[in-house]
Amino acid sequence: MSDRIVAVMLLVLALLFGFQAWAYVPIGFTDHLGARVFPLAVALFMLPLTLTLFFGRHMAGVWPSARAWRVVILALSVLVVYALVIEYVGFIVATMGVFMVYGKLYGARWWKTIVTGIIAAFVLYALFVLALDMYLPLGSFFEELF
Amino acid sequence: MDSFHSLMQGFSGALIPLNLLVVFLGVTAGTIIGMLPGIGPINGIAILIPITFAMGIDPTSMLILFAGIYYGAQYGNSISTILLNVPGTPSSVATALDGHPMAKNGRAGPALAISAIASFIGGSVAVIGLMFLAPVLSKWAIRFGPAEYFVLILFTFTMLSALSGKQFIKGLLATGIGLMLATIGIDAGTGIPRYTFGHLAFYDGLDFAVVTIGLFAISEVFLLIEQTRGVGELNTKLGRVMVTAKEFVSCWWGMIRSAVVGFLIGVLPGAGATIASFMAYATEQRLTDKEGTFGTGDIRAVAAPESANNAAVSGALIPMLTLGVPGSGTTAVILGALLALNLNPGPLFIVQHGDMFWTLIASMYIGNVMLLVLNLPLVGLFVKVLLIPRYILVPGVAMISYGAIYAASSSMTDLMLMTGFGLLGYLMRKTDFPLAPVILALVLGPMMETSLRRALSLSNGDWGILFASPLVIGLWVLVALSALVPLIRSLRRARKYNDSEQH
Repeated sequence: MSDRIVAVMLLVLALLFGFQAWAYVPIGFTDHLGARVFPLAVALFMLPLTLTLFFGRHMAGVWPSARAWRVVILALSVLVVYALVIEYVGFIVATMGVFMVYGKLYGARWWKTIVTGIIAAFVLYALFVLALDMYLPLGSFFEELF
Repeated sequence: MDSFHSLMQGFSGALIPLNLLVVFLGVTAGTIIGMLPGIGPINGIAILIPITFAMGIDPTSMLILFAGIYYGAQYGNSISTILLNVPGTPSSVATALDGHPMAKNGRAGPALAISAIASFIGGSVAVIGLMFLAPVLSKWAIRFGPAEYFVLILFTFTMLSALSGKQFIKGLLATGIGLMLATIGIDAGTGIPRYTFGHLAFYDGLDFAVVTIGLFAISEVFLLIEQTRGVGELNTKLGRVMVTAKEFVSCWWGMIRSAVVGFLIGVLPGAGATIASFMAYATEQRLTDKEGTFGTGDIRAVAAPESANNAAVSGALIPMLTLGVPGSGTTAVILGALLALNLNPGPLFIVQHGDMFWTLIASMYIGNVMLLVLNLPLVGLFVKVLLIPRYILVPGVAMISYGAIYAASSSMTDLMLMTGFGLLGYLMRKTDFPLAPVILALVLGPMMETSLRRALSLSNGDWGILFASPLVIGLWVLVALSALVPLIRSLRRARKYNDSEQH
C-alpha cells in the first residue's frame, strides 16, 4: 500500500470525523469550548498533513509476500474466532486451539502442537485463576464437568 | 538534607518484603521481556496493567513493578543484541555495532559483563539525577497554568513526532489518530456522547489497556508470525562473564559521560533511550576512538550506549512525574495506568504522594543492584529464554494478552476491539507509522482538551490567554522550532531527491 492510498484513507477519515463533530451542539448550557471544537481542531490538524503525505516524497514500505499475507490473515482470523467463542467453549479449549493452529503455522509437528497447547492452556488458566484470583470462562462443557 | 531524609523514608518503604518481591519480579520480568525480540517494555507493562488492577495491587507497588520492568528491559535488551545480533528494542541497536562483533570474536562474556556494569552505572547515576532534578522541576512546574499545559502537551506531540525518525508527517498523523481515539466517549465538559454511535460500551471511552495491548502486543504477534524462522542461532559460547581491571578502567569515564548524556536526553520529551544510546556512541567515538576500533568489537563502544540507554529511562520518568507529561511510549503507558487509579502525576505529585515518589527512587537503587547481581552470574540462565521456540512464544504472548483483558473486563467486545487495534498496529508498522504517538495522544488528549477548557474558563472565552504569559510564549517558540526544523529538513531532502532524479 503506498503512502498515497494511506493519505486518501486518512483524509476521508478526518473529513468524516470533522463532519460528525459538527453535530455535537450542547443543549441547554454551554461552556466556552463546547463539545465540538476539540474534535474539529483535530480534523483540521489532520487535513493538511494528509495532503502533505499525498503530495510528498514517498518511501516504499517493506510489504510481506503473498504467503506471509495468508499466514497473517489466518492468524488474525484465529484470534477473531477466539474472541467470539471464548465464552462458549471456555478459555482452556480456545487457548489450546490457538496454540495448535499457530504451531502448525510455524511448521511444528501435530503432536508437539497438541502437547504444547494442552500444557500452555492449563498453565495459563492456573496462573490467572488460581495464582492471580481472576475470572476466566471455563465454557459450558467444563462448567458441567466441575 | 531534605532529600536525604526523604530518601531514607523511601528506603523504609521499599525494603518491606512485598516491595522487595515486586522489585525482584519487575526487574526479572523486565530482563526477560527485554531479551525477547519485539516484545519490549511497552507490551510487558500494558499486559500487566489489567492484571494489577484486577488484583488490587497497591499503587506504589504497581509503580515500582512497572519501573522495574522499564529499566530491567534495558539490561535484558543487550543479551539478545550481543549474542544474536537481534536487538530486543531499538535502544540497543547501538550496542549491536560492537557487542555482536565481540561475541563473534569469542568475547561474549566480557561484552555481557561490561553491558551489565555499564547499565548499573548508567542507571545509578540517573537515579541520583532523578532524585535531585525531579523536586526542582516540580517546584518550577507549579507556575504552569492550564494554558501552559495545553501548549506543553502540544510541544510533547511535536517533539515525539520530530524524533520518531525521518517520518515527521507520519508521526503527526499518528498523533492525530490518537487524539481521535481520545475523543470517543462522553465529553467531560458538556456530557455529550461523542463518536459512540449509540453503543454503551463506548460511553466511558476506549479502554487504554485494550488499545495499547492491541497496537503493540497483538500487532507484534502478526509481525512475528510473518517470519517462520527461529529467533536466531544461539551458538555463541559465553565464557567467563567478567571484565579485566584494565578493560573496566578504559570504559569508566565513558560510562559516566554516557550516563549524563543519556539522562539529559531522557528528560527531553520524545527523545528517550534510542537517541541517547546513539548520541553516547557518537560522543565516545569522537572523544576516544583514536585507533578507529569502534565497530570492530571495542568494549568501550558497548559500555557507552548501555550506560546511556539505562540513564535515559530514569530521565524519561522526570517529565511524567513532575509535569504529568510523558516523554515516551512506555512512560505514556505508565501514566495511563496511574491516571486510571486517580493518581495525577504533575507538579503536586511529589508533595501529595511524596512517600510514593521516594519509595520509587529507593526501589530503583535496589533494583539496579539486583539487576547487576542477577545479570553477572545468572546470564547463562537468562540466555535459555532465547531458546524458547517461536511456536510457543508467539501464541503465548497472544494468549496472555487475551487472558489479561478478558480477566479484567469479562467483555468479548474488548477482545474484538483489541484484535482490531492489533490489525491497525500491524498496518501502521508496515506503512512506517510510529505507534508511540498514538498512545501518547490517547493518554494526553483528554488532558489537553481539559486544559484548553480551563484556560478559556479563566479568560472568559478569550483565546488570547494562550499567548498571555512569557512562559507560554516560550513554549510556543519550542513548538514552532520542533515542528519547523524537521519540516525544513524533509523539504531539503525532497529537493535533493528531486534534483538527483532530474540529473
